[in-house]
Amino acid sequence: MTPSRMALAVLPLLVAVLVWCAAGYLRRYRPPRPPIGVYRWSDIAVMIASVVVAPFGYLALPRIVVAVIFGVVLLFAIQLMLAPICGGRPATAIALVLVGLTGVADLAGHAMLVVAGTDAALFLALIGVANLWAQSGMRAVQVAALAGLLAGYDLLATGLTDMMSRFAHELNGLPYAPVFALTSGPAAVSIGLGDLLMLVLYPLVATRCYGRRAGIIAAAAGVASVGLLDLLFALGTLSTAVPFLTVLGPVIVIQQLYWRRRYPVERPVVNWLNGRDPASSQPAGVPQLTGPLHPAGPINETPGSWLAVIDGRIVGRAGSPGRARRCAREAGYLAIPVVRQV
Amino acid sequence: MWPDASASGHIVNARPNQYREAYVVFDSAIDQLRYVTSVLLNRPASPTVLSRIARDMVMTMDEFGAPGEDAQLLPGQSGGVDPEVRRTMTSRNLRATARWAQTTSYYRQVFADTGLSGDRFDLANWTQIPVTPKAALKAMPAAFVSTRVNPAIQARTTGTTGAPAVIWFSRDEFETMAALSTLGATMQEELRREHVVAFAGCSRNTMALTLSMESATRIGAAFVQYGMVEPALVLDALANPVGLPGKLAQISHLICSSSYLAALVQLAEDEGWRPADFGLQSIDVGGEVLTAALGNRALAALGARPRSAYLMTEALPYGAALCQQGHLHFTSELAHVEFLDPQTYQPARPGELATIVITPLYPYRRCTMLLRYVTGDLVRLPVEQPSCELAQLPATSDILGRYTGPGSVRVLTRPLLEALERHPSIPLPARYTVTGEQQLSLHVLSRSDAEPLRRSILDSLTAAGVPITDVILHTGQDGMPAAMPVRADLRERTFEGTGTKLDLPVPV
Repeated sequence: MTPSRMALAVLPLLVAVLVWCAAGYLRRYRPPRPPIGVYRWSDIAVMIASVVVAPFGYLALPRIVVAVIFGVVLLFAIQLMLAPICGGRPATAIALVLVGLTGVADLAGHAMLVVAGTDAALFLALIGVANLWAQSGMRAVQVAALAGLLAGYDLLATGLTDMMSRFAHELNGLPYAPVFALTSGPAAVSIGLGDLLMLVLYPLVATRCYGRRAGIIAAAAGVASVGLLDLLFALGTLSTAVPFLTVLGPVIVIQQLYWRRRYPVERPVVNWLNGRDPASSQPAGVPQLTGPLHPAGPINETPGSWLAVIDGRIVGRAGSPGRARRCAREAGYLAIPVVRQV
Repeated sequence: MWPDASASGHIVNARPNQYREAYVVFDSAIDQLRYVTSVLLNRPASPTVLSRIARDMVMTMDEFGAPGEDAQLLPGQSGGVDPEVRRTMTSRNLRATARWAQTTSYYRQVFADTGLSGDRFDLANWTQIPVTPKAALKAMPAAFVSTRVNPAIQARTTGTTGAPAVIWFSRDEFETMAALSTLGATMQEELRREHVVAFAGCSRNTMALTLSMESATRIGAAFVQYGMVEPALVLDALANPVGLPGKLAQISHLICSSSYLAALVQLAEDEGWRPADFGLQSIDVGGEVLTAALGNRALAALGARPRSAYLMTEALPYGAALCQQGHLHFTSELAHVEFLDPQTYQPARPGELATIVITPLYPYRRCTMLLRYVTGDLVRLPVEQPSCELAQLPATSDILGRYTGPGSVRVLTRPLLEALERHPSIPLPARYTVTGEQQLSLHVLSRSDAEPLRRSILDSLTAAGVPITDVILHTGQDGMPAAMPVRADLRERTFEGTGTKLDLPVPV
C-alpha cells in the first residue's frame, strides 16, 4: 500500500508551521529556569542514555502503563509551554482538558480523535520543550552532537535489531504515543517525536547562537529533508519506514560545522537577549603593537619614563604609567591609551 | 517572518509558573540536592559540592547574565525563610554547635565550671551559656580549636585595638568559604570575568586576601594584589591601563579598608586626579566605619561609590549585608546573632544601643568554635520594623562604633567621623582623639585652625547628638594627644617608586 499523497504533501507543511510557531514562541516568551545550571556534556550523555534505554523499558511495561507515563509527560510539557502565555493555573487546566479528552476518546474507541488529540498535544509540547532547552542554554554544538549520535543509534537500532519496529508496533493506536501521525493503518504517514524535536530544536538553538540567518537555514534544511523523503515515498522509491534522523542528523552536523567555523564562540543567552550580534561574542584578535612600539615622531624622553600612545601617536608623557594616562586625558584624549615605558 | 536576534522588546512573561519545571540540568540538580540534604541533616556540606554550585553559578551568569528564579535560596544568600522554620533550624544548629564546642578545651571547661552540658542547648536556653569575651580568645586561641579537626590556616585580626585575635581554620572550612565568597561575589557584587580586581588591604589579612583572590579567579576575573603600600603607587596603578585581552581597560574593582580609601581620596583631591582617570566600577571597604561623607568624596574623586558589608575574621564565613536604606541585615543560616546591652549582656530593646554577639554555627565552623562571642561592635536596634528589600531578616543600624568601655558609648565613631570627613580641611584619614571625663574635648588634626571650621565641626557634632563640648584643631601632630591608629597606618614597603635607594630601617 502506498501512503496517502495528500498526507505526504501536508506533512512538511505542518512541520514548517510547527517550527514557525516555535520560533515565534522563542521571540515572545521566556520559560522559567532554575537558579543555576547550564547544559554540560554529562547532561547530553544522560539524554542519550535515556533515549537508548527507554524503549526497552516501555516494551517491558503493559500498554496502559506506557500510555499513562506518556500522558503525564505530555501534561507537564504542555503546562510548561502554556504557563508563560496564560499563567500557571489556566495552563494546567488546558493541559488537563487536552490530555484528558484524548484519553476519553481512546476509552470510547474514537481512533481518529485519539490521533488528533495526541498530535495537538505533541505540537504544543514540542514547542515548549524545544524552547525550554534552547532558552536554558543548550548549545548548538550539543544539539548537533545529540543529533549525530542519535542518527548513528537510529541506524543501528533500526538496521540491526527489530527493537524499533517492535516499539513502533506497540505504539500503534496508543494514546499519547510519541508519534505525530496524519494517517493510520499499515501505510501511515507519521514522524517520530525525537525526529520532530530535532527539527524544531536546532533552528531555535541556531538562531540563538549564530543569528537569524542560521535559524532560517536550519528550518529550511529540516523541512526540505522531510519534503524530500515524502517525495520519495510518493514516487514509490521508498516503501518502508525510514529512520529519519539518519538523514537529518548529518544535515544538522554539516550546518554546525559551517557555523562553528564562522563563529567559533557561540553567542551566550545574555547576548542574544540583549540583541548583540554573534560576531561580538567572538574573541578579539591579537592586538597590533606597532603603534605603541614605534610611535610616530622622535622619542626624546628620559629612559624609564612613560608614554601614552593612541593610534601610533604619543598623547601623554610622565614619570609613571598612571600619570601618563592622566596626561593623555588632560590633553583631551578620553580613549584609553596604550602605556609603555621608554 | 523569523524571530530577530533581539526579542527583548517583545518579551512576555505573563504570570509566574507555579510549577517548577522538571527539566533541570542534571549535574547541577544533583549538587543542589546534595547540599540541601546536608543542610536538612545538619551535616557538613562537601566543599567540593559547594565549589561546584559556585562554579555552576559562574557559568550561569556567563550564559544568562542573571540567575534564574529563587536564586536567593542558594547557599549563603539572604533568602526569606518561614520564621517558624527558621526557629526550628536555628535551635537544631545551636544544639549541634554547642555539642561540637565540647571538643574544645575552653568550652569543655566553661561547661564544667557552670555545670552545663553542651548536649542540651537550643534556642530556648541558649542565653544560659556565658558570653565569650574577646580577651579570652586573644589570651588562649588554641583553647578554642577543636580536637577533632586538623587546623590548617591561621588568620589574625589587624589588632588596631591591641593584640590581634587568632582564628584557626581547617582546609575544608577554607574551601567552603571560597565557594560561598564566589557565590556572593557573583550575585551581590556582580563580579564578571572581564573585571580586574585590585586588593589594597593589609597583606597580613590572610582570609580577606585569599578569599578575594579565590572568588575573583574562580569567576574568571583578574586579580592584582598591591597591599597597603604608599597611596600614590596604588592611585597610579588605578589609572594605569591594564591592557589585558578580554578584560576591561583599567582596574574595575578595589578592595581596601576605609581609612586607606580615605588616604587615596585625599591624595586624589590634593593632586587633581579626576574620575575620568580611573575605570573603577566598585570599591569594597571593610574593617572600619565607612561614612556617607567619605562615600561622597570617593565618588567625586575616584568615580565609584564605596560600599561595605559586615564581615569579621572571627565570624567567618558569616557576614551581614547592608540594604538600600542603610540597615544591616543578619541571616541565620551560618551564624546565630544576638544584640545585647554592651554592659549587662541582656537583650537590647528597640531603639537601644547593642553589641553584636555572634555564634558561628556548626557545620560551617568546626575548627575554632566561638559561642556567644562578644564582637564589641555597636549598633542601634530599630524602633520600627524596616520596610526595605531585606525586611524579612533581622535588622539593625550600620556599625556605629566599638565598645571599649562605658565611655565609648558616649562618643560613637560613626557620627564623629561623619562630622569630620565632610570637611575638606580635615586631612583624610581623619586623626582625632577625645579627652576629658565630664566635659569632652575633641582634638583633630586639621589643615586650618580657623574659628569658622572649629565652629562648623562643633555644630555638626551637636546636631548629631555627640556630647563634645569643645573642638581643638591642631595643624601639626606636635602637642596633639596621640590619635587612635587606623588600618591605613599599617603601611607596607616596596622598592617601587623609590628611585635609586630604599630608605632602610636603622639597625638597633
